[in-house]
Amino acid sequence: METVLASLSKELKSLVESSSPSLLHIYTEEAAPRTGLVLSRGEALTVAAQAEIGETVEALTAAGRPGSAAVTGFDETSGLVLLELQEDLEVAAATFAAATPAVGALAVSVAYPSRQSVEARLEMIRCVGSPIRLPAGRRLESYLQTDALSYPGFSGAPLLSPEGEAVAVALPSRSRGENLYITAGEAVQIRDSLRRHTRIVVAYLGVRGKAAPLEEQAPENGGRTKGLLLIDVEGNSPAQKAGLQVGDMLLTIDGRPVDSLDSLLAALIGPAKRSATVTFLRGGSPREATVELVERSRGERRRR
Amino acid sequence: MTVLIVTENKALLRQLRRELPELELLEGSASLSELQLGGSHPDLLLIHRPHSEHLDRLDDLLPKEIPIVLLEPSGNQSDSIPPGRGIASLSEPWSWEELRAVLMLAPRGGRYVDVETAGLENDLPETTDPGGRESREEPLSPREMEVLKKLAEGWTNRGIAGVLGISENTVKFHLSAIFRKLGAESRTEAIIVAAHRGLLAL
Repeated sequence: METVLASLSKELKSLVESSSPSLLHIYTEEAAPRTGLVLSRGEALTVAAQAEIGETVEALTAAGRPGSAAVTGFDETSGLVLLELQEDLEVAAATFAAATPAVGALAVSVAYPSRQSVEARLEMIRCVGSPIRLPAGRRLESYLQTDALSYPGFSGAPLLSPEGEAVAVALPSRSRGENLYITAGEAVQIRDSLRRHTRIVVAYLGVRGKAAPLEEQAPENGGRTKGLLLIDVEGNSPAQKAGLQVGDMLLTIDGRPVDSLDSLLAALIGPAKRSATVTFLRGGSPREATVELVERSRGERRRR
Repeated sequence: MTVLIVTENKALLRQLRRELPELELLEGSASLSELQLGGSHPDLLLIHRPHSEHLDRLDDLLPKEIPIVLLEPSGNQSDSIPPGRGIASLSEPWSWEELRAVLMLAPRGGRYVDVETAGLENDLPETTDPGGRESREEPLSPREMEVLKKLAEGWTNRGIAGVLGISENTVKFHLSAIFRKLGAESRTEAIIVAAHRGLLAL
């Protein structure tokens, strides 16, 4: 008779085997190797601290087939990168789970950190948190952490449910060994917006501000108690072009309340080029303006 | 803009002239109770460390149409700001930028009361420990600030090297110092941390 342990071991082994065809070993000359996750025959997801659209990376399949992939999307606030596979690498698409697992659930991390082989480890969901701000500014509505430490090459790796669906993706590991997983739901949202917009950035408005209390009674404040006092409006910035001035009290950007640097940051995350409606108080009376948000200009292309 | 200033502190007057040269500064009295407006019509009255009993009688001492900016000692915030006039209150330590901003706000009828906690509060937890970061804050050198500004403008390493007239290796050297001092691991993160420290615009 087979022991429970033997049957568990067999199941884990088969989970790793069946998920391997959706893994890629992603490497470039400059950056540390990572894991890529195949989304469809021609598309994969990985992570990076920095990526340029059009840049190519090397991709190796679990079956040992080498190929290359081009960066087609980059969200600099989460580090997620969308790749287009340049050849048919005979890979299989991963499936994402619809639900977030609960604390205590078991999951298997499968990664492809070195050319040698696919690696795996059994993890327990240690916590499901919400919301959190990543160092590069993105707010995650929810995130997962497990009992495992981050490990080089595991960034970009899927965390699989016992059913073999990806419940989360490992974000780039930070120096402290902290491991952080973005949930499948948010990864899918970012994937979709990267398909539409290519680059998700912290757009440039050109202000420095200080959180400031508003007079609560004033009806024009719409119940808000805080705003952002502009203490600097940079020359030639989108803010200046839209007529914002030092001393104005910023209230909202595209309807999102702005009352701290964090909320300003959150409102500025999105496609690289877009217009937004800002509301503010000037000398106590409400005003509205349209700003043309831009990506911080890319040096090489700028001519002075 | 004409600003009438009430202060005992001559050094503050000299500093104001230097830091905010766009203002036309009129020297008022040392104390609010001795102030004679006479025929002058300042756009704004700047009162340095006002006495609390004078603040209570502000509306008796001054016409309502004159906007006021108060510079108050730390922790000595006047809790009763008279209604119905453009007024702003900054408590020490304030920066020249904040003062410039409230000097723009008050004459337009805006009202502002500084709160000490208002500056850098986070509304969300962060994956890195903000307290730990604060205590390890190391200032950037002037050259590192230049490199950081170029980085924030989106320049590549090569671009920064070209525009600052230094080698690409020197840029990388400065960048690694900037990343270390800011506790950042990517260019975006460096910009975000610098913005939180008030070094860069968002």
